Amino acid sequence: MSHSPSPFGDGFEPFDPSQSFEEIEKIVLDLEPKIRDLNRHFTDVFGPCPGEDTTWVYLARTEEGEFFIGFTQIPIGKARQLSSRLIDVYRILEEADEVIVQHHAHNAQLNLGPAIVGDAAKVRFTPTTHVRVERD
Amino acid sequence: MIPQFETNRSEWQIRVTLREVLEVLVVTQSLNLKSGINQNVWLTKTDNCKRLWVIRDRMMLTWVTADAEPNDPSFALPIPHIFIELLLELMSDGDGADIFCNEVEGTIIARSDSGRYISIDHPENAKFSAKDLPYLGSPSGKEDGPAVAEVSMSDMAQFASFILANPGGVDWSEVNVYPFASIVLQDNQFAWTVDWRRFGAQRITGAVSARTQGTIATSFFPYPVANVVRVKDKDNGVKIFVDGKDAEYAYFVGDNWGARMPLYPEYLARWHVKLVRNLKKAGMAVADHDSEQLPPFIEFKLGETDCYASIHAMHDDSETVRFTYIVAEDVPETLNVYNEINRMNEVLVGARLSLRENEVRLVVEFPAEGVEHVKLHIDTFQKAVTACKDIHTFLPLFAD
Repeated sequence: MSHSPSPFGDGFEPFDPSQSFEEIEKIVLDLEPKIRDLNRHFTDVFGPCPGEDTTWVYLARTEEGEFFIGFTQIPIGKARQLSSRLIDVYRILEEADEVIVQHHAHNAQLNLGPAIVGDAAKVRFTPTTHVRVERD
Repeated sequence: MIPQFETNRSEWQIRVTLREVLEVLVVTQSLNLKSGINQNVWLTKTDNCKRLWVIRDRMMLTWVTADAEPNDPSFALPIPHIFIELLLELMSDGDGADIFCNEVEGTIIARSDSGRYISIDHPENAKFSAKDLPYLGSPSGKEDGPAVAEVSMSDMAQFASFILANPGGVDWSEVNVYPFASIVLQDNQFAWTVDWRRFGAQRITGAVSARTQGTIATSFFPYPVANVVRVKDKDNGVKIFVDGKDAEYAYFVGDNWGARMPLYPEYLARWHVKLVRNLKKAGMAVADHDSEQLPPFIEFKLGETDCYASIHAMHDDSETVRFTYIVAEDVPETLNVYNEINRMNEVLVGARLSLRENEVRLVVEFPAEGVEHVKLHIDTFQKAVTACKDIHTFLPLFAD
């Protein structure tokens, strides 16, 4: 005897009448501008999406009917490009934070270290290590 | 079989010039680095399109900068020392070479302008860490009384030759740790002293004019820096930077190179490693330390008890090793507490209790020369710790 909670048996999900097409449409209409904004902001910060879909995020729905925001898949070859862009953004944010901290600090001292050390002090974010690759 | 250098090549390549490779080689050779299989030079890029070659010695980190190409990769590429020498030979008929990888064979390849090739296996298990970054800043993020001295190259050359001068009368077989340089940056002067008296020779002191900001007195192992300075005699000058009295490093920065040395007293260099080794031999669990500086104290476990070992310079130029166990905290300074501590001290053998900063501390001290017999001192310490174990429960009762 089946112990499935569904009277229709395992693996069969009946239509949920509690979420009508009108309700779904309402949710989608509500989320659509948010998705558009997210895509705009992602493009502003990270540049055009390197994936085939050309949009960074999209609206999707699970089998259980829950809506979620999915992130695009990107080709492996573009990963380094994206990683490099993320490092640039991190540096920009970190430098902006430093400026804010220095601006607000009472009796803030001139940050001599980077000025003296010069170009070599610009690498404050640890680069990734290039590892040995041996493909078949 | 003719090797296929151009097949399966990486998407990236790095164009290096004869001049920058020569600069890197000069630094590695001046440091007399051993070409061990795990000895690599790191090649990476800064965010203002400067190329950065990072050379790590056991203590010192040195770097060379050069102009990068916009498409240079931002990762850190480990290049075996021996490859730098070979690279220079390869480029002897031109101005530069292209470096790339063969991603099937796992090799680093260089090709000169005239079509010469060399290839070497890419290092395995090499890892670029935060400590390989030339500038780490201060742990607190704040500079505390920084000091800078700008010294002309001819004056730095004098510093280097003084440091590298061998005094007469030294029994070199006795020199386990070379004397450190004590330096002072103050009042538009860069001054240094190297004290060879421990080996039966003299103190050597020098001073040159400098443009200084701030004041600092510190000490460090000066010989690697002196070796690099000696080969950089065409530079305009060197800036010396120490980020306050508790700074971890001294920086020496030239036109397109720099060096970073950890700062700590000479007596720590002489005794720290021996003390740690002998504590471990005596069965103690000794905590590791992250810093390149030698720490002022060593944490170790005596059974389940947290204890500390420290090395102290005494007024008579001798050094003492001290084991400390904090018996009780938050103890008030009252007459009754002092009486009780004195009563305990009468029965302790080879150890003493004292009240410092509201802590009751149990201490065993012995001359640093006795570090080879740490086990004996640990036994004394162990007995005293056992005798004092219950003090923390009743000592507060003696508060007024």
